[in-house]
Amino acid sequence: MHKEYTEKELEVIIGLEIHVQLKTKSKLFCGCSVGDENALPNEHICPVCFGMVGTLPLLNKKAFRLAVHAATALRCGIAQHCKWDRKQYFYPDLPKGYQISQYDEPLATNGMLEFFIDEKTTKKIRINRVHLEEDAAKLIHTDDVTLVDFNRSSVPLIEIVTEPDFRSASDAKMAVKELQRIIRYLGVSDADMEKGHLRCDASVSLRPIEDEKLYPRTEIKNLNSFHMIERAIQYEVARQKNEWMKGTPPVHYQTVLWNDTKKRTEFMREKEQEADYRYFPEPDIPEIELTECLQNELLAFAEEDMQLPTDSVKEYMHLGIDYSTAQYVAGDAPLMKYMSQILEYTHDDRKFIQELSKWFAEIFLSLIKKNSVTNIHLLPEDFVTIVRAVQKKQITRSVGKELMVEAAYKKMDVISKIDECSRTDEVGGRDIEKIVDEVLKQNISLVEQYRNGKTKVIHALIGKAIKKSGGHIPVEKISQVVRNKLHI
Amino acid sequence: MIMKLHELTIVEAHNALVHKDISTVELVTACIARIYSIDNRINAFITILDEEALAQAHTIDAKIAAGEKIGMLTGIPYSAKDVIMTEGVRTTAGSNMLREFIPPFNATVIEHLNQAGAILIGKTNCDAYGHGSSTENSDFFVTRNPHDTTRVAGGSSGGAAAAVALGMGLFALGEDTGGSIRQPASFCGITGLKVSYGRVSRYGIIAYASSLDTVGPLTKNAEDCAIVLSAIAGRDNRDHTTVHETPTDYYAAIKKKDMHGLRIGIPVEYFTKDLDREVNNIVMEAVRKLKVQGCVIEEVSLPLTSVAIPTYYSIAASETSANLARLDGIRFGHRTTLAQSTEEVFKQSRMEGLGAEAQRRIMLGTYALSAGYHDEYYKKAQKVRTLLRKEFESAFKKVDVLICPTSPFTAFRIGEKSANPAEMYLADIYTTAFSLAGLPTINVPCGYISDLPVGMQIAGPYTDEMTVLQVAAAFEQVTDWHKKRPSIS
Amino acid sequence: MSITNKQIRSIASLAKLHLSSEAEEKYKDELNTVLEYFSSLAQIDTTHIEPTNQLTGLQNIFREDIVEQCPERTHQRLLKEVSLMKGRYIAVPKIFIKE
Repeated sequence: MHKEYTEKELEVIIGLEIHVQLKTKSKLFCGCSVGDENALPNEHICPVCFGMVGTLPLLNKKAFRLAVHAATALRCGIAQHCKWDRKQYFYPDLPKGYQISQYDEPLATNGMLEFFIDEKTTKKIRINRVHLEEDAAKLIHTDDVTLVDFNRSSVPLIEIVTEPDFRSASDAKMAVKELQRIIRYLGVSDADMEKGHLRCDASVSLRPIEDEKLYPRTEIKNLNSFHMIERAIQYEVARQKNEWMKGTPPVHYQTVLWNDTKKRTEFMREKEQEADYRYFPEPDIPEIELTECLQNELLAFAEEDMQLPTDSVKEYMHLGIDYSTAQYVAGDAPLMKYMSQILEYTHDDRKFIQELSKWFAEIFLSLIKKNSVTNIHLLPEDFVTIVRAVQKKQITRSVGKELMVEAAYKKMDVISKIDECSRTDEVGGRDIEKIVDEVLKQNISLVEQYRNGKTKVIHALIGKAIKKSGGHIPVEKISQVVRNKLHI
Repeated sequence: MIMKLHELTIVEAHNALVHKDISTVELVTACIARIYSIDNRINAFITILDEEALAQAHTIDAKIAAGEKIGMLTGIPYSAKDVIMTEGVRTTAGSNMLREFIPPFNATVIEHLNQAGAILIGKTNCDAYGHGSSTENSDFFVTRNPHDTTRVAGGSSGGAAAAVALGMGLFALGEDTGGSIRQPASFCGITGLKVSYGRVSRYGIIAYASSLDTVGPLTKNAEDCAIVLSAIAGRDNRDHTTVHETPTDYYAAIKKKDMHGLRIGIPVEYFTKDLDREVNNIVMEAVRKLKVQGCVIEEVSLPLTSVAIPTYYSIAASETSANLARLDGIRFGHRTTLAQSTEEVFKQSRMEGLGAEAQRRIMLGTYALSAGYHDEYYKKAQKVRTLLRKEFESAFKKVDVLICPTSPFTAFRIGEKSANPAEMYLADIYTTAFSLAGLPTINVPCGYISDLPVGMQIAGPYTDEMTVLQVAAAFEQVTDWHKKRPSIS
Repeated sequence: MSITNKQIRSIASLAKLHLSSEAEEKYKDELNTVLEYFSSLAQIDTTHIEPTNQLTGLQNIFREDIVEQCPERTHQRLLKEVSLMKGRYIAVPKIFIKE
């Protein structure tokens, strides 16, 4: 292949393989504890996960349930029948010399992940499969030896493999973000990338547009943050583009590590073809048949008509909530609950919802960023009451804002407080009567003009009164008082 | 007591203990003394637990003296094949790799026997990891046949069989994957039961082939076998492949069966002209003894018998290549001192620790599973296995049990077959098909040729240990073969 | 189909077995003999036959998600069997990532 391609002639092909650690109490095949962040090295081990002779794997029911839950959320078909297989290779982090995984009969296939790339557009990428497997131990490389900690050995993971449907690094990043949100929303995993609950490998290749076949890809491992996912893929795309443009496209599959300090990939190993893992069905674990009984058990824990965050965003936007607020709320269960309670008081009034949405975005979000929504004292109905009071001009916007902030931090009778503000016209100790008297005194010429028939000057007087009041008093009120005083 | 204590059966010993004719200490001492007096000529034991056993014996005697009721196995000394893990007691699997390995837990079967009050007196020699039919593949020494010490005791549970034949313990636990209890039982002239797959927990058994391994008793007769089986059988939540049917009280029911009308199938493929004439006659004579008791004899055909061995070895080697991968020197077992890299730790440790047969089977298994060959060997064998199971199922629609020889020959001389591995594999010709189908199969001694024991297999439908034991017991009621002991002094 | 020396070396590498050239020859011959015997399997018609992956017929056997900590005694015995430890870690020769 000597043709030197131009950038425009090339298409980017990206696929992802994501591993998610499931939120169970115990490991996938034994009763050792999972998720103890204060654990000492090799504290949570037993003969089974340590790969001792004479031990047998004992399948964790909750792990299976969470895996099915996640796969269902990814719109996969759940297999009527699935089984486990031994994937064989030697490595110090693999105690049995094989990993128990799922090969040709995984628990789910053919799904779809939808995510927003901007306010108006969603993308859908296909999920090839979701399967359940055990994690390996952790290796720590020091100067003179490599240390092995088996606490992580046999922790339950789901592996999610996408089709190579991504066409840009940013799409890939956004998809993983969406996946994280879904996983967290379902309670399947904490999916904290820093803690290694969610790990991503990306496979990158290019091809001439219109070409149907796939060219040798580079698999990038060790992508531990969204930044890294985007940067590493961008780097590799650029690198490969260069090769294609020079007329020397890649001819070997290879696996690389992303070095985030040096901002480049490092060659790990070359594979001419897939490694020979000598898969065969795991004899020690009875197979899974999705009997009616098992299905009922799994469904008992799943929510009826589970709505994904992306669908919630669409629904919110349809009701009138702005995109950014919708995205912020969707997938956050307590926040969604709060929002739905707010919406109960709106009677689908789209304009009002838009107004509420603005208040949510401008004021409420900063409140819950400091303090979780569950610690906010402001009740949803009071939120609505405040916004409505401002809309009806009972109180000014800035009074409403102050009220909202105050009510967030301490319990108060919001309705009475609003009443109080609008009656006394005295917020911050400002007396509207006094203000207008002062303004009329300071602007005798305007008053004269008004009395002589130039009625339009009333607006100037009102304007001065507003300015003097510092915006704490509703315009209508000021206007009313000015008119009253002028007509006396 | 005219009889020497080590010659007692479990039932006899139990009665003697209950009647206070003997003490546990006397019984255990007798068996241990037996080990010390003759095992140097036999090499059945790798580890002897005399101190521990005697301490337990004292405890049990105190219980008996205090008037506590004891079970059938309380105070009964036994040995366990060295693939069965015993907490705090060296367990080698017959391999240099595990020469100094001290298991951190007991196998479930050991826990059961502990609870029953049985007393472990030692761990017995075997072909390393169960890979063999003669005990010549033990990394330590060969176990000699009690009837002729120039010959093998059989394998892989050779030590266990020799121990029972010579009264070094009143029963033994062995392990059978393709014939490893039945064949040595046959060579040593004792009773040995391969249980249905899943009848007894595999937790704590150093695995050979996960879809074939079983743990079972070697005893002097069918009754004793039933007693031990009752103690070790049952569902275990540490082994998800144990069957859920509650096992029957085998000992209570063993003599209750009326043999009249029981249909015995004789598979013609097991009695071809290639079979030694004398073995053929001895087994047919045994069958006639059962006919006299009212059994109906019928010929059946099991044509897939001819491919049982390649089917078995493809699967067994594949599974063992995976099961032995954990022996990498990192977490337990032998670790080389010569390695500069992790790769070298693996290769060097395994080269130093694993014997030739283990390496050979790993190579074979790795090949059978490798890309390009997987379908041709491993998967093909698993499909043929399905056909074999169906063949047995059809046969059991017509008959209640199948009877055939256990081995085509009596015990061969040490070194006779070890030069050619393929020839050794052929020794398993009669036992492997039953293993592939997971069927309960017992070896019952039924004759002698030139003072060497001949055994027959009685096989039953999956999970029907009861009928198999009952037929064995019925046979014992009209014969004395099970009472004959080696003449070694 | 007979095994070549190259295949023997590749199998040995997968299985992490270190073979001398004599061992290589010996295993090659032995395996070829065994495989020849296995060729009888190919003659059996297994069209539409499912492989036997499991004998017991059991399905859907699970363990509840409950923490069952390994007893201290067992834990100690487990780590006692490790040949080389560094502090609380199992130690192996340093693994380098190829650059």
